[in-house]
Amino acid sequence: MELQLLKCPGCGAKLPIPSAPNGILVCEYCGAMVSASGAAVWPMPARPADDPPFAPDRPRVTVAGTRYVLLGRLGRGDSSDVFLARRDARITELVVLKVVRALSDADLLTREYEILEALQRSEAQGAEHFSRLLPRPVARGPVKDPEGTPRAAAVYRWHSGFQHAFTEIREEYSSGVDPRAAVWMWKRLLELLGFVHRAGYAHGAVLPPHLLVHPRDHGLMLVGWASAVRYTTRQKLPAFSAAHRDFYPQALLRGETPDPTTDLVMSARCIAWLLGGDPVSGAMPGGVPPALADLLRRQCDEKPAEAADAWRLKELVDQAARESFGPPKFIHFTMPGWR
Amino acid sequence: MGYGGYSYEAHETMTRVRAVLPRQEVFKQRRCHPLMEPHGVKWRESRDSDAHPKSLGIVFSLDVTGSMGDIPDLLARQRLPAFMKALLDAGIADPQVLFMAVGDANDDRAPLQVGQFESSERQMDQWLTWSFLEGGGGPAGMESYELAMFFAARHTDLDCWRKRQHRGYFFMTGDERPYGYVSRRQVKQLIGDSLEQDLPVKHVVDELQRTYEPFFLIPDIARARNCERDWRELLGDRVICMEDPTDTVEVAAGLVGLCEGAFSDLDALARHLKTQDMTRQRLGAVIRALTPFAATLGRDGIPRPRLEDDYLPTNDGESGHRRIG
Repeated sequence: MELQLLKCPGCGAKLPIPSAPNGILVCEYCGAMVSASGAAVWPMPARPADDPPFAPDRPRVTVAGTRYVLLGRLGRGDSSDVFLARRDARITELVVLKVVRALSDADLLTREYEILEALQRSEAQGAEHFSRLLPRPVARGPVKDPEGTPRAAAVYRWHSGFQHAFTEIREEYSSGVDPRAAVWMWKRLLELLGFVHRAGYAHGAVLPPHLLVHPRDHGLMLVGWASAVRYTTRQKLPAFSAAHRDFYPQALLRGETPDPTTDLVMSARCIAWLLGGDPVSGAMPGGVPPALADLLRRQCDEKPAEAADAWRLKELVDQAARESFGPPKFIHFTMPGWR
Repeated sequence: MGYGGYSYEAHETMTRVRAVLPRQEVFKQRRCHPLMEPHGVKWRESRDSDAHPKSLGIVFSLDVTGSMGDIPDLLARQRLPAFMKALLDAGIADPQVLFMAVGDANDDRAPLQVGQFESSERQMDQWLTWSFLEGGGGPAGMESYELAMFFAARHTDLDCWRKRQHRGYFFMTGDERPYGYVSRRQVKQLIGDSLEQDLPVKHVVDELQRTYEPFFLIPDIARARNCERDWRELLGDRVICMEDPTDTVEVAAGLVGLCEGAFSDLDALARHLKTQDMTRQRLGAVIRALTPFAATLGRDGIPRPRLEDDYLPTNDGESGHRRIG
């Protein structure tokens, strides 16, 4: 069936091209709903008078037919700007909006969205729990920037409290975080990687800006999925982050396939860096207990002699932590503004 | 409706005696109770009275298909008094609760059953246990939730809204997707209204939220995977995914408490729940279920993320990525 351009029967405004022949269009100007075939029209229901628009001074953008209010920029990735936004309606939804800054990287954003959709569908053991610690796709499509250029954008759910990347934590703890805190972060990361690997994927970019921590709940999320691959397909990494070259095993940059081991090496390098150490050699500052420092040094190696499996490595971390600090206990970790 | 006082003790005693009865003894109905037939009902009213000067209308629309029948059962046996108590504790003086039961209009004999708004434990319980737990359901992963929303939007009248512009609450439990349209034919047959054409479900939600704060509660994470995304398109962060259906009551009462400002944030709610003899594990599950919605209210008890005031990028920025191969 051919899709035709419709005009709103209520006010005459042009309607966007429908995404499906049996879809419903909502007129941006008068709120009327029109079926995509043009056959049926429902006028906008009367609205209560007491509902002022949310933050009318904030900019609005539309992705896939839904309008969002931009609340502010959360950060900048290698190729995208990331915003906190909310659906511009009374029944709202807090979201993270990722918009490409470098237009040529639109394909990476598409890739990321598709991989995350697949991971959310995964039935691998632990999927119910761990899929909540991955970005959750909501919508994607082009947005128009202020100059009218369409830019690829993806919308993900906002996860309350997961708002401090390793990079920000390291800024705050300039001489390195408490090793006991680094231990729980590493363990959470390894559990998550364990699930991802079981689902058949390697993340391929376990880097400080991609690790988000929930300080109060000791939670960790993994973002930045543009480089992930299904490792059984033996695909190469599509791209790497120039600013974080040191965190990649050299073989990956030469075009070798990412696999669970490369993720584990990168995870150790991130933890080493967070502790104030050197990600490449795994050399640690003096405050890190020897058992943990040793393990990190071994795991930062390009080809670690032990532990090709995330769960096995987690056991080793447990062991090293016990040797260094005794039986596990809850360590209060905080960032500015947190109680 | 809505006369009669509420007594937690009486209610608690009433539910306690049934804890050991089989489900058929509690829910005796084998077809839609004649008083719960929606056909021809003009209004279900939640009204202020001398005894309840500040009524607040609350609709519980319960999915009664298949395994979802556990929730009405759970409410009738144990949890409904706790819900009322939680509301009273949260400072909601005069809650009036209406129960609806929802099935599938294509397959079930009683796809929509509607009680009355009640304030007293005996009457509230009566409507709940008059519900016919048919246990059927549709074949296609959908149920007729949209009919319940349609009924609430067009056939209920709340004094809290009419007199005080204060919205009531509409809770729906379920584990399937809604149909995309309210069928003109089904509405005629079940409710008796004449529509000119089928009504998109989005439109119904829009009408419903004029007078209600709607929420959709999914009983557990496994079942969320079937339907969460579709519901989130309609209800955004008002889709609450629980970890266990036994938490329905605390979650619903927590939502009312957060919206009404009885709890300043999730920390305050957690402190309140701690006094209620709740295990640490269940407390955590309730707080986790409520967190995304609390975040949209700015009541998640977490500092606001560091935000830079900025608009979308322009021009073609330089990529920090280097391609391989």
